[in-house]
Amino acid sequence: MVDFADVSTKVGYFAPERFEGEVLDCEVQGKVPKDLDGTFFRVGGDWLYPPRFADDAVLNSDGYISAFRFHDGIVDYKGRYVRTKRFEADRAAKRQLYGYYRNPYTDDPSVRDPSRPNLRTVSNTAPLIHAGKLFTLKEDGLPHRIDPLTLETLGVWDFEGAWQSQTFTAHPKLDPVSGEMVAFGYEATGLATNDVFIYTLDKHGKVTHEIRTKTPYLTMLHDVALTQKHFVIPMCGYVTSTDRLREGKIHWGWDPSKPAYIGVLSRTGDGKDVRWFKGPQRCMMHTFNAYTKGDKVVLHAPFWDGNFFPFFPNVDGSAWDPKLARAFIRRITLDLKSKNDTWMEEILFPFQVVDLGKVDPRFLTVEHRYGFTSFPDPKRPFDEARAGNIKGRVTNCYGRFDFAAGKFDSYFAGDTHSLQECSFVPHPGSREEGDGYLIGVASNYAEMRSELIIADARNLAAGDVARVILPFRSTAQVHGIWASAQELS
Amino acid sequence: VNVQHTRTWRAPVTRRTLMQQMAGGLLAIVATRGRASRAPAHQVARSAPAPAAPQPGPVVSFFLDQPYVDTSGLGVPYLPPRGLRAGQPLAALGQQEFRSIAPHG
Repeated sequence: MVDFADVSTKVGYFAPERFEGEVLDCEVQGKVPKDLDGTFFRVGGDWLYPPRFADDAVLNSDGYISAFRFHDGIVDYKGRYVRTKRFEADRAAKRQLYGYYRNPYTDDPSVRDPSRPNLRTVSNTAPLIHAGKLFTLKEDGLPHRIDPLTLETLGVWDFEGAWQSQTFTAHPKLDPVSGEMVAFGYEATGLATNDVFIYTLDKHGKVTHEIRTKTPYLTMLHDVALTQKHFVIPMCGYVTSTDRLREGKIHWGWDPSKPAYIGVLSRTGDGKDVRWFKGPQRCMMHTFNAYTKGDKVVLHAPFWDGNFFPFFPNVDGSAWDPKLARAFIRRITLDLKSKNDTWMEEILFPFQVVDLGKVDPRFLTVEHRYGFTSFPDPKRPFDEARAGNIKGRVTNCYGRFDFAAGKFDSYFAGDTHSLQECSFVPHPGSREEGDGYLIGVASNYAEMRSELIIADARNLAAGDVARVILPFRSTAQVHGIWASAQELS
Repeated sequence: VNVQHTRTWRAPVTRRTLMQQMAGGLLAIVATRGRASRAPAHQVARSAPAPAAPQPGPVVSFFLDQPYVDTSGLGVPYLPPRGLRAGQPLAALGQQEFRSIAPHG
């Protein structure tokens, strides 16, 4: 019997959904633009069975992929679990067999295998489309290939045997100029190993180049950045070890004594040229974009001041500090000619944002002007009676941030809403940066439903042009992507 | 799920407990090292050897649009609106109250 009653965080809007389904011709408020022709894929997690430990990270829930399919002003919705090996094992056992986030030592003996940690991935972090194929990703395992129409899981994908790392990042980087993908795996040779394998794949999905390197210390490498010349690796104070895992702890702890590093290496090199720049404590999770200009690499990223995951404890025993869990949009300049091994950092906007930043995908790897992300605006109204006592703690706005002019434009979702990550959809035929739509799912805490927001990215303050209403809560996404009909054909 | 765990200390914060505390307006959750106690808070308090300075217990707090277990007890407790979890608490509501909380219910 399934019983979530002991999992205190699975309340209200956050109760598990545990269903698969589709909605044909969804209810719409406003008018869906007819030039939106393609699919918005989202990947997140939803517990099929309750976690073995109530304080486990939400990042450990079962992978779930959903799709909003747009055609001729009509939107259809579909959602399915990713059929990982782990999902199928739990289903067969009719209970949760797997323990803490990325700690196989806490698994049920029937599935415990610390020598093959990638077999316990939940593939719940991000969708990817490359070379006409759709995948779900999580950084502790290999991609799962998904049928883009039915969302059925087709199996684990190792790029026809060419991918040698045991893991594959949730943030591979696409080069819109060449069509290449540069991706990596860390803990590449096994649990708590310090190996990083970086691969370049051509536009057909064939591996063309491999780099093997190591980081200054073993840490999480969640996201990177790519320029036309360089691969940029930010890393910060999350730490782990085999001892830590054998003690039954969650995979990552936060060590505030660890400096942050940013590695820069040539895309075409062999890894021996990696240069590590060292800086103050930062929590570097996601990036907007980067570009190389002369001898400098410029990185735009919404980095945090410190540990922002409350479920990854500080290793010194101190309490998690929400005051350090503040992300700002930063410009980081790495001077490759300088003898000084640190970076120059500017905070571009003096208020907190959420670190799920996006840019116009046509401008990845090259100099760009705009970034898009969500942020909490505590001055906006919030109806606590209908939506809970979280006024000031919800992400209620999307912003278009003009990095060149220092200006921003914002969209407010509503007084019972919070916003998940946005995605930018270029207007078909347009070449101007930022000309397109901003789309993303809002959680309506009062109505207990999800609403897909569609806004004009050049005029966010005008509000949404349409909302696609789901009559239920769609599993919260971690990341999403837009794929035009052409990309999937 | 907590009873399966014996290797390390973890503070169980149950939804039942949370609901009790929401009703009472107080969030104080029993946490023990080692084997988790599932006794109600008032029984544990009665059997305690001597009154001690109150220690903060885990609370369910809210950050980045998700609730989480704050083991330090310093976080602001998250109190979701009534009647919005799997229909269970809705049984106690009148028709009018139900419609005001979940108009699309």
